[in-house]
Amino acid sequence: MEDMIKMLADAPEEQKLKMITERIKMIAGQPDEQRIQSVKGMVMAISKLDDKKKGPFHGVRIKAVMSLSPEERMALMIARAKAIAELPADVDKEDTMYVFASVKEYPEEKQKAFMAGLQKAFEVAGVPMPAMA
Amino acid sequence: MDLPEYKLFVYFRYGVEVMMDGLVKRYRTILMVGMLLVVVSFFVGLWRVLNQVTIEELTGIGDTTSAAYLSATAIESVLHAYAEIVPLFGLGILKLGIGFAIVTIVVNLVSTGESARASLEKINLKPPDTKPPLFARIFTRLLVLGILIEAVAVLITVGWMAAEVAIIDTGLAHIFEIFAEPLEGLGVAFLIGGIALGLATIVLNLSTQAMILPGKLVQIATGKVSEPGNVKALFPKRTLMLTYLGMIITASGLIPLAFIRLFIAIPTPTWENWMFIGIGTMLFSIAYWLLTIIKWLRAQRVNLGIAVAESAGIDVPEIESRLSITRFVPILAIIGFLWMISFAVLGLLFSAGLVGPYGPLVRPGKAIGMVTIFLGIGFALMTIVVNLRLTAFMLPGAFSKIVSAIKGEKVEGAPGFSVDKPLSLAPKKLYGGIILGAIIAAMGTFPLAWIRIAIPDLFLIAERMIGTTVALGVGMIFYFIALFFGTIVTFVSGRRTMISEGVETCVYYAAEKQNT
Repeated sequence: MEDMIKMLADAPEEQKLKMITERIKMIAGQPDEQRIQSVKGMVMAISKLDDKKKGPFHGVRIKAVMSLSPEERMALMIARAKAIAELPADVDKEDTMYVFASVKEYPEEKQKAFMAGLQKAFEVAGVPMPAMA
Repeated sequence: MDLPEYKLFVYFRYGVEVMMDGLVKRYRTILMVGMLLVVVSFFVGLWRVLNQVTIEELTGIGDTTSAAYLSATAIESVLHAYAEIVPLFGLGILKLGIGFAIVTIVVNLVSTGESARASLEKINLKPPDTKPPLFARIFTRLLVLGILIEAVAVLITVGWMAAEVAIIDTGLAHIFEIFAEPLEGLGVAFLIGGIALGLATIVLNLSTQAMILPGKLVQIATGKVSEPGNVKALFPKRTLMLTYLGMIITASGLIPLAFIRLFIAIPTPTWENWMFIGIGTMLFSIAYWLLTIIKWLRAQRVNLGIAVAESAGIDVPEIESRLSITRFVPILAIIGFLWMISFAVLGLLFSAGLVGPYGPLVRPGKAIGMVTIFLGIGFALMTIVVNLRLTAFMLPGAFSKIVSAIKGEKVEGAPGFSVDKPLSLAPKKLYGGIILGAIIAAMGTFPLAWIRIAIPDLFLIAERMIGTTVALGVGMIFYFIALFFGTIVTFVSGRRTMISEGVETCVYYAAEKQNT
């Protein structure tokens, strides 16, 4: 998975969004348990990227998530919530921080819709949602 | 078995495998070590030039007994020994690094196949087991054996130099000298041969997956069974024979003759030219293995596109035309090979007093031929990286659509996305490194060789720089080729993740459908 994420992070700008979108669509279509493992693997691999690549990668990741259908987005969010139990606390915290920072770049309406979806996903997963700083 | 000797053997074998696994993963470090040795050797060559100027100045004024002169000649003896041994060993370590990068690629490909087979077995679609051929099982060991033999050649050369300056029995100098270069040739044969056979193993795995996997995906989605075709029949056996021929020429012609030389005097230049014919043959086969890899990477995308079309009932556009740079690969390989062979044959036929005063041009001629083949290999590697990028664009979308088809959902749009200028995906900076290495190697050949012929007073000074300059140039070429393979490792590893997950997802939904 690390090489997978490195390949996506190093992709030419023109194709990066499309590649990441296709990849997370593929994950969204996976069975539940496999999806959780893929999301967990992705978060762990992203945490190992160079600091200067992390921020931009998260930005493109959120853009890709925003472009998914509501069902695909919800499936990914639920998997991310369920993956918390298997992620190291510092990795989860850093990933959450980057996600929230990326979401804040969007207009308020979109931010609210995204956070509402995330709230619902955490409720379905039975996990308390972290606060947005 | 409870015998202590057997247990010791098992632990030893396990220990060797663990050590090998650790070494293979450190191929980047190995490359750095090799490059460092070659770069340091270049500066040693510069030092030799400066030292030679001192020796010639002192000789010019008739001073051949002073401490300064004796010190300078002693320095030359040591630096000469260093320049004989270290650059070649550095190049050997670089070849080992390339070989281990190829091992990593093969491990990823095999793992992809095994993971897909394990998934397909859950729904009784596992392809039949096949035993890998001999070359696939031994190429890693050939690489390690090659560097160990080169290390022995280094020790023998050190012994030879020590005998020359009477540190040890001078009678041993002749024996050491006879075996040093043949062992070096044997090491080179195993290293370059191991690289070529590693590429053959990549072809084997890639062609199997490109032919069999798409058919299985269609069978999962539609129930339609298709015969994948005979993978073995499509394997390029002639290229394999060429690789073996190159290895045999490089290795075996020298060792038997070394034993004959213990009793009969044969001129030394014969060794190098014979070895170059074998090396040229192996490099030529490597260019063709890379062309075959390109062919199967394209076939993989074509077959996957057909699988999506048949599974989802949609139209899938054809893939892009072949890259323009690919057609230069066989052209450069053939020109380089013929150039190398011609000069090597000249060297074999006119070994002493070679072709009048133009004898010093034979070695540069062979080096230029070798560099030309490497330029072709560089174009092939660029094409492979482009194809792997295009594969990465296609795989997630292709699997998403096949999964949707299995679930009975409506599928729209082609898998992946097109790229207007595929050549824009090529890592041109890496190829620039190969060109720079080629220029440096060329500068160490014809210009210095011409100085040797045209300006006899500068003969020895030019002579001191040739070997280490060519080694630096060739070392840079190897280093950038290794960086190409390092890039390929990342893509093949990403491909493994996508294919493994994709097949598992397809199998999951197919099994779910079967159970409902």
